Amino acid sequence: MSPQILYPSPIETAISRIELLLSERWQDAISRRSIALLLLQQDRETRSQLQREPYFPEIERIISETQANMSESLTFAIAQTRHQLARAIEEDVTVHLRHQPVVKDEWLHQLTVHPLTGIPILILILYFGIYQFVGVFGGGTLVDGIEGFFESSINPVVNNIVAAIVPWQAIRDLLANDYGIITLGIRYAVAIVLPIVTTFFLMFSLLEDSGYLPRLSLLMDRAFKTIGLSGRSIIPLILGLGCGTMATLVTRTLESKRERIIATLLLALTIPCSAQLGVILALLSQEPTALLIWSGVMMAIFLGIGFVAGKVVPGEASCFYMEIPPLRLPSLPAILTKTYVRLKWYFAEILPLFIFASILIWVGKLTGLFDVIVRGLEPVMLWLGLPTEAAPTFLYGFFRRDYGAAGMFDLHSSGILTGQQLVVAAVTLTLFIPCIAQLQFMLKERGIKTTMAIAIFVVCFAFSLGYLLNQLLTIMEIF
Amino acid sequence: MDCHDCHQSCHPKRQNIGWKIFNFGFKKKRPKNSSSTGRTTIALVGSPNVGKSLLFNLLTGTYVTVSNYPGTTVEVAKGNAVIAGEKVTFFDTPGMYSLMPITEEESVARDLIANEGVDLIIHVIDAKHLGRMLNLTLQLMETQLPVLLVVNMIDEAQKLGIWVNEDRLAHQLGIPVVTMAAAQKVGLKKLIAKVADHVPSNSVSLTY
Amino acid sequence: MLTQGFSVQYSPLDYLGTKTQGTIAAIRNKDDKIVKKLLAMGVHTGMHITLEQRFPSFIIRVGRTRIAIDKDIANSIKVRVISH
Ligand SMILES: Nc1nc2c(ncn2[C@@H]2O[C@H](COP(=O)(O)OP(=O)(O)OP(=O)(O)O)[C@@H](O)[C@H]2O)c(=O)[nH]1
Ligand SMILES: [Mg+2]
Repeated sequence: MSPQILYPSPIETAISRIELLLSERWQDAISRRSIALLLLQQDRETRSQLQREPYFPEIERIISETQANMSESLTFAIAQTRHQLARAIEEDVTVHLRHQPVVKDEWLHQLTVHPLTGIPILILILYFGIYQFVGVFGGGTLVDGIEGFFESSINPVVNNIVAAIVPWQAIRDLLANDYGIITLGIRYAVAIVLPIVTTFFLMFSLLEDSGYLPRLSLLMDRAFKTIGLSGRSIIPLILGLGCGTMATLVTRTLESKRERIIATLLLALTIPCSAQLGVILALLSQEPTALLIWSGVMMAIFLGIGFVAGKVVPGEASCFYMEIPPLRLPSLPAILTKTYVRLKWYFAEILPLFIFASILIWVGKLTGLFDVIVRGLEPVMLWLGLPTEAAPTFLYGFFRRDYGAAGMFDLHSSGILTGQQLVVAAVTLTLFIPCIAQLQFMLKERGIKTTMAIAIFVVCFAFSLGYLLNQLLTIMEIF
Repeated sequence: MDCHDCHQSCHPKRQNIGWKIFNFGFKKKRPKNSSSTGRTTIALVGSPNVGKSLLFNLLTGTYVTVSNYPGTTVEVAKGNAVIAGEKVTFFDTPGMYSLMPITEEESVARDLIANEGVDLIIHVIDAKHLGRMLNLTLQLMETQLPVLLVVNMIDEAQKLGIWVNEDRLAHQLGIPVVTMAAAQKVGLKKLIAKVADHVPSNSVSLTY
Repeated sequence: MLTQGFSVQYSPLDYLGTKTQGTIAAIRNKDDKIVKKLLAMGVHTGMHITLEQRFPSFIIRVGRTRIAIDKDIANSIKVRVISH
């Protein structure tokens, strides 16, 4: 039957000896030969499983004896033997027709990875893909359209119907009016978050399926090394621009614990999620100075915090390797399916929270607790130079980042936030606490200690920075 | 990038509970997954970006994220299908280059094979990189678990002028081999037929 | 890099210029994990290698596989140069 791979004889001898030792107790899903080979290659997991066994020292001795008999490392010899057999089989079973050199997509690959052309391409993608498509089109045109429809056609109708059939004011407020489940919760989700998140996921799927992301990783690797990350982290970070919660889960692909911690921190602190990003881009696009200051400040914080984290977080510097797959033409059905599935996940995650937030606010208002918290936040608002009306927005922001962003949208459209205040609010809200869902995933992926540390840091940092920024902008009299 | 899967996926115990049990001289040869449910379990494993998730979607009708970069899948996803009249459970796994895991998500796939145990391993490889990827096939065969080899992306290989002789490869390795192009659903029927060979008509009798 | 002093026939990949081709003579790194990773990705001694790009990351081609690596990993691949 199958070709039993024969390793160099010292290795084969060692395998038999280890197999014999394992035979007493070890009965596992995988063969003893496999386990012996893993041990000979110093596989950490297998070693730690066997460490306490009485025969482990004996195994160690066999390994070091064998190693002493070989000129190259055991890992190497084993890999080489397999490699040669694999190559021989490949030779035997494949026909390679001498084809004309295949350089069809080669030029495109070269353009994306060469720094002179790659960086401009990246800027174009960011400008058209994120700014124009997600920010201006998704966060501007689409949101305005749907939001307008809600304000003019749905909300009044809902308010009227509810007023007609529900006799109690308290229940009316739960469903409709300023903070109702339908008029606030559903409206935020459908009119503000949905268009932005959809456009972002569409764009992101396109990038994913084309094979651009690995190329972006290699472009960014050197720069990312200075902030304690490797090029690989670009993928969770960009996904974080869509949803920080998803991105936190994806930090698993990163090599070292250190990298995962830094990426989680940067995601929690500096990366706005798509709803925030969309709203902020859409609002600030009308005030170029504000947009410039916001992006400059966010960039500086990203680099600064990354740099410091790279120095402070313990662990070895990360290495970078990544296989570069061929560029592929994305297929439309695949992209639509993927976007649809992501949206479904996203809404399953947020809708209950939006509704829950509406209920909580309702309860809070009924009991007066909401007003107490809001009043507690008001000094903080003043401290940041913001109108006290902004306090609830910060409260929502904690439930969901996007909820806070949507609140900001409301504030702006009612003319409460302008110029400098808009910038300060945007910066503080972007930095401010990752939403509950993201916190939950941080807890799952990083553990309670890291999560608490990050959360506390983020809150303190967000408000202090907001304060400083406000002072600075006031002194500089930009607005 | 699979956040949404986590809600439908199972988490075969990622911690090393399995190992500990074994260390105390637990004797069992039959994989845990199949013995507990009586259902055939099949794991899709292989290097990153070879089309495991795409194949999983085709086989189970459950969507998990497919995208063109290595490291898309970070968690095991579970999906069911009916093959040869029997219910079969498939696992999609994060890509791994070898049986010796280095990153966190790589060890997930290894743990599934080594600790949980499955009835069949479908090793998915990229036809363009046959020689390189057969390395892992050889390692998987060494575990003595049943292995079925899927040589995927033959469409891209053929564009490069590479043709893989399915029968010859099967003969050389001594395991079933299917060449296919999952993106075009080419070879899917053939794969299902070969998987059916591993699904016992009454899977309960397999248990011991 | 004094450690490379003993070998005259081959040089670390990061010393070579773009478009250099050669054969992999050895893979050495103080971090065992990196060696294992390279082996697992199909980078073995004796294989033909082309250095496609040096900046911002090193891009190598081994067989039909294209891999991006950083300077440290590039340094661990020792190449016997065939042509420039
Ligand atoms: N041309 C072609 N492309 C394919 C084929 N199978 C998969 N792909 C593409 O290959 C890429 C990777 O597919 P995935 O299913 O995400 O790969 P995976 O093995 O799950 O990858 P990881 O989760 O990273 O381990 C996607 O862009 C697919 O569309 C095929 O047969 N032909
Ligand atoms: Mg996958």
